[in-house]
Amino acid sequence: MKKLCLNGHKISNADQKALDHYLLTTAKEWAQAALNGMVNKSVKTIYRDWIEIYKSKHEEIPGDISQIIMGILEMPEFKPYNRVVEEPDREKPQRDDAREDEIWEGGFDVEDYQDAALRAFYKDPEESLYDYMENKIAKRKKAFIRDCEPVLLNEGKPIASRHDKFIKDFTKRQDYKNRRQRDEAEGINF
Amino acid sequence: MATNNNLNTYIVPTSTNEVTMPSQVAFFARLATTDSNVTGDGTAFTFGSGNALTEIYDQNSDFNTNGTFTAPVTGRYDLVVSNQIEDTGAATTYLIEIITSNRTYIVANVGPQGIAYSAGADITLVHSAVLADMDAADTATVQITVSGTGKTVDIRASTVGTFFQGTLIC
Repeated sequence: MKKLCLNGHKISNADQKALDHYLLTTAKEWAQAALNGMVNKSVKTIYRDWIEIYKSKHEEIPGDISQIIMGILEMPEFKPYNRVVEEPDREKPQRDDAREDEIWEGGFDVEDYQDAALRAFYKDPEESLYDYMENKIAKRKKAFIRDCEPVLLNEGKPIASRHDKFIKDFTKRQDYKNRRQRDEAEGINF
Repeated sequence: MATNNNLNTYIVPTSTNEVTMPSQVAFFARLATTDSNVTGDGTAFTFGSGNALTEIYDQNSDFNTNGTFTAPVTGRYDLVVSNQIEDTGAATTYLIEIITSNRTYIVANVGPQGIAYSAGADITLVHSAVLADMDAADTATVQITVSGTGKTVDIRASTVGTFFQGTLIC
């Protein structure tokens, strides 16, 4: 078993509110799901691309994905993929407030073969997860403003130009609901 | 001439002018073994959380057979679900939701008039789709909730009737 992202990740209160406007899960649960997807993609891609070469070297292969992946990675001809999170996916949030909320406390657990697959597929898996999280926050802060600005325009009220102030002001409204509250009001199952 | 980056051939025109994109996001997974007695009493069942799904294809390795699709890039994804329930008992509602990180789409909400009850022919199929906005590393799952009876309703395995598929559109 290996631990990833033990250094944690801090976000601002406005970042958290923007995430809560869209997510049913916590930021850590979102990151865990993202990491699960990264593990799945790494293992499946390595298997798909290298399994025939691996088979050509063995009379029979183990019926265990962890042994197969480790066997493939040990082949001398195997080359790491060195994937990074690419534009246009990568975006930095506009952030004025201090980053005081730790969201990745304790890091994430992965099996040894999953860690090996991640490191063979991504140039830096921890940096990639960090980039996905920061991109997610950036996208949701922009979406929050895109979705809520028309409300203030209709009411003829002043609109804060900076993302953090806009989000903090808007979430103080009495009629404000985050996603969980909106879904509950609509009777959506969790 | 094919179009390549340093890793893959991603656009492939043929000599007769068809174009394929072998690395474009596209997945199709079906339920090969019935999930028995998983809902009916209001229990929300996540497609793939019982018996693992069987992939027909997963071009870019973004789908997990536990039923979770993870978006590799930010974009609009066409997500399609087809689901059959059977042993409906006295069920009164049949709800299908596609749950993405950003929002929940209610893609079917069937009342008692739409649910088949006849003994030996109590199979109800619903097919729905949504064009979902997803950010990179967001997930999508399908949730099925049947209410009004006991926990006796099955999600019926089928070669073509119970599946989850998706494609990156733009």
